[in-house]
Order: sequence, then structure tokens, then C-alpha cells
Amino acid sequence: MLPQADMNWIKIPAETIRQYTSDLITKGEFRHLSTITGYQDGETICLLYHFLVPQGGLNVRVCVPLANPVLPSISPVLIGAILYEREIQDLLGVRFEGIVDARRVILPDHFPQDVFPLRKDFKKEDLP
Amino acid sequence: MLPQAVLSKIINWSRYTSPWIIHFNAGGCNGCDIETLAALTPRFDVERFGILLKGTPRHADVLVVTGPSNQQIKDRLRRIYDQMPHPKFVVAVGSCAISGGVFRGCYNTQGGMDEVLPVTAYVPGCPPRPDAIIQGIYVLLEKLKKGG
Amino acid sequence: MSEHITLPIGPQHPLLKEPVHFRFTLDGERIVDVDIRLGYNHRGIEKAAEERTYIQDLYMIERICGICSHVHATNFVQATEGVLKTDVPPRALYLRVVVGELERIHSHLLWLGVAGHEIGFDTLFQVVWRDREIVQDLLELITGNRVNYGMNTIGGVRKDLNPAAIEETLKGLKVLEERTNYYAQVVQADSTFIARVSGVGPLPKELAISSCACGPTARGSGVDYDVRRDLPYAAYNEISPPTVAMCWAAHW
Ligand code: SF4
Repeated sequence: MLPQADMNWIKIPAETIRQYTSDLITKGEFRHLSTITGYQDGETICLLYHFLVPQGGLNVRVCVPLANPVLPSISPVLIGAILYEREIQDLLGVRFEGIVDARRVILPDHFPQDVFPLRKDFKKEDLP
Repeated sequence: MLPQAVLSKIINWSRYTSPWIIHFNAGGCNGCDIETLAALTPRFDVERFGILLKGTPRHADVLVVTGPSNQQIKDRLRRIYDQMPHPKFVVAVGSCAISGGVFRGCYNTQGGMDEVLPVTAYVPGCPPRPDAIIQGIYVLLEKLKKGG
Repeated sequence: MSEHITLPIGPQHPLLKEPVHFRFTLDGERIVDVDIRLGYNHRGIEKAAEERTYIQDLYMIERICGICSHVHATNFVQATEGVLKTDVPPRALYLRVVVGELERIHSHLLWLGVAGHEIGFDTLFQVVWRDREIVQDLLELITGNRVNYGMNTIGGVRKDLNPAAIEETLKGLKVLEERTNYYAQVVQADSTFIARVSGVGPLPKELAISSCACGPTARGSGVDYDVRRDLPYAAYNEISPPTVAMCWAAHW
């Protein structure tokens, strides 16, 4: 079977993601956050939060505009999300407001600060 | 005092009978690294050739290096190589270290180890079996023997 | 006011097998901060996957990590199959499970050996890795490769199991079971081993959950979580593998 078979997919507004996560935790439904996937879809950047809740997998999608990719960080309520968020911040240039630690983690030190490799307009030829 | 010719013969003999290696992963997938480690364990037992794994480059004669290397690790790799005493040799293990392998063309990799270091022996495979790695080191030892 | 010391570790360090860099900030013996730099190992696989074909991607994604290669490949083929809405033959699903389980065995033995090595118990490292060769042989027998197996493909697997190989595998597993039980006994009885690891770096249950620990790490902290049971993939919905984990750190 495919694991997708017993998964739920929902979409919520980006500003509510921290509240949503802390609600999951206070309700005792939160079991695990596998990772956060990020991708660019035209003029938006979408993030998928892969939760595990008692009923199975729960994928929560939020979208932010490419021009201003900002959303609340969930790391203040769930510290484990921090590496996922930092990775997305490095690779897609999304800003997480209130993130506990925003240092670069994945990209090499010499990599330009304003270039985000997973954006569609990235070309490796442009790298210094 | 022994004559120079005899002395250098003895030095060379000790070099090929007991080369100490240091192992460094320069951004590979770890596949080559576990096979290199496996070569040290009882089934393959590379220690029968007098080979010992060392933790510091200052004790090592041979740098066994895996992975495609990248912009950031390049300088470290160079530094590790510079810290090794003369004469020193580099064995590049795996397709990554030879040409960049499956990661060739990724934005943070290079096209192989010889862009950074002078390589003496290449061991192809993704990853090469431990026996192949042993053979690679053996080829290097043979070279040393002849080069005496 | 306390003085903080910065301690850089990596990318080359005798205790570190991966080229990563940690910058610890210490207050006496207490770690107050750590800065992690993965740029030494970052290759840009994510971007490269966008540029290549699905089949090329499969072989690259298998090489994200050479220790857990089958898992990455399985994830990738499952995602692709989900998009394509392809059915996979049940036998192929079971074969994925077989290779997945053998990979788990090799991976656990690998880390048991490395753990022995890191605490200076090199005998454990050598004997465990000797026995790890048994499972490596089985993986080679089934898939043709020792490390990056190349077993998965989109829509199924690339190799079948014949009766002779099944018999060989069962024989090998029997030996492994015996030996593993013995090692489990050793590490639970050896006083130096216990003295070295018990109470070191305990991860309390709440922290394990909130830091999103998974697998044996989470179970070692008492979190009841196993992806094979809680979010089954391949054929795990039809078999329920027993879940065990123990951890000295959590015991004290
Ligand atoms: S050559 Fe293959 S096995 Fe070795 S590090 Fe590179 S990708 Fe991994």
C-alpha cells in the first residue's frame, strides 16, 4: 500500500499555522512532525507540514506569496521544527517570524545570502 | 653509519610494509566510507598489510578520500593534506571522488578529487567493494615498492 | 559572569564520520549553544532532482545516504507511484519490506559497532562488524549490491527472490539472531559498557516528542512510535513487526 492512502490533506491560512500547531499539542493529538516540505508554485511558495496524529498522517498546506514569503514560525511551540524551518529558510528564502534560531544551517558559508537554490529562477551558472 | 643507499632502502621498506592511513569523507553519501571501514574489520582485514587507521593527518602516509568534494570542503581537504608528513599519497575511493559520480553537476559539488589534490590511485565503484579498496591500496604499495 | 568557551568540532575529527561542523559554546561543562554547518556535505540534490528524469533521480536519491539508501529510494518511488496512481504488485511490496528489514539489521549492527568503537570497546566493533558481513552477504545475494542496492524501481522492484535465496536468507538470519541476542546480553551485562553509557545524554520523553525524534531514538526515550505500524507503507499494513528499543541513558 502507499502511505498516502491513509493521510488527510488540509489547507489553512499561513498566519494561523502556529496556533494550529499549538492547538494540536494542547489537544494531545500531536504525535510527530516528520518534516516540512517547501516548494515554489508559480508566484506562491507552499509549505506542507507532515504531522502524525492518532488518526494517521495529516498534511497541512499553507501558502505564502513569493514576493513576501513570511509566516509565523512554529518553533516557539515545537522546538523540533527548527531544523526544518531553517532548511526552508536557506533553500527557499522563506522568513519565519519568531524563529528561535535563524542561523544558516545547510548552505555553504560562501554561498550568497540572497540566492535561494530551490526557487525556480535559480541557475547554478549565476553562482560566483 | 649506514650508507645512504641502504638507509633509503630500509626507509622505503618500512613505508610499504606499514603505511598508516587517514580517512576523510569529502561530501559523499557515506556508502564508500562504510565500505572503507568494513575493509578494516575481520572479514577483509586490511591490517594484514600493516595498514593502520589513524585519527590525525600528522600520523598518516595515505589519505583515503571519498566523495565529490565541494567549494567549502576544498580548503579543509588541502589543509589536511598539507598536515601530512612527506611522502604522502592520496587514494580516491568511489565514483564521486573520481568524477563527481552521480552528483556531477550539482551546484555545490566538484568534478572529482583531482581538482583539489594530486591523486595516486583511483578505486572505481559506487561504492567499491572492500576488496576493491584493498586492491587499490595494494596497487599503491606495489608502486612504492618499485619506486624505492 | 561566566566565561563562555567556543569549541569547534569537524569537519575532520576522529570521532566524527561525517564532514559536518559543530561550533559548541560551553559554559564550563554545560553546552549552552551549538551552531551546525552542513555546507561541507550539502550537494544540492534537491535542485538536481528537479533537473533530471524520474529514473535518474531514483539512483541519485538512493545516494542521499549510503547507510539507509533503500529507505530514500522507497520514499521516492512511493511518492512517484502516488502521483502516477500506479498499482504495485503485492510481491514487490513484500520484497521492498524484505530489503528494508535487512537494511535495518545492517544499520543497527553498524551503529552498535561504531558505538563500541567510540567508547573504546574496539572488540565489540570488530566482532559486530564481522557478523554484519552476514547480512551484507544476504543483501548482495538478493539485490546484487552491498550498499546502494538499486532494488526499487517505479512500479515495483528490479529483482525477484528465488527459493534458493530464500533458504540462504533464512539460514543467515538464524545465525544473526543468535549472535545479536548474545551481543544484547553482553552490553547489558558488561560493567564497563554500562558505566560508560548509563545516564549519558538522557533524552526525556517530553523532549523526545517536542524535538521530533523518531525511530529507535524516540523509542529509547519511551515514546511509543513506529512508522511501520503507525503509518504503514509497502506491505507493513499486513504484517506487524515487533517493536523494541532500549536505551541505557533513559534508564537512569
Ligand atoms: S561513489 Fe557512490 S557510494 Fe561512494 S560516496 Fe559517492 S555516491 Fe556514495
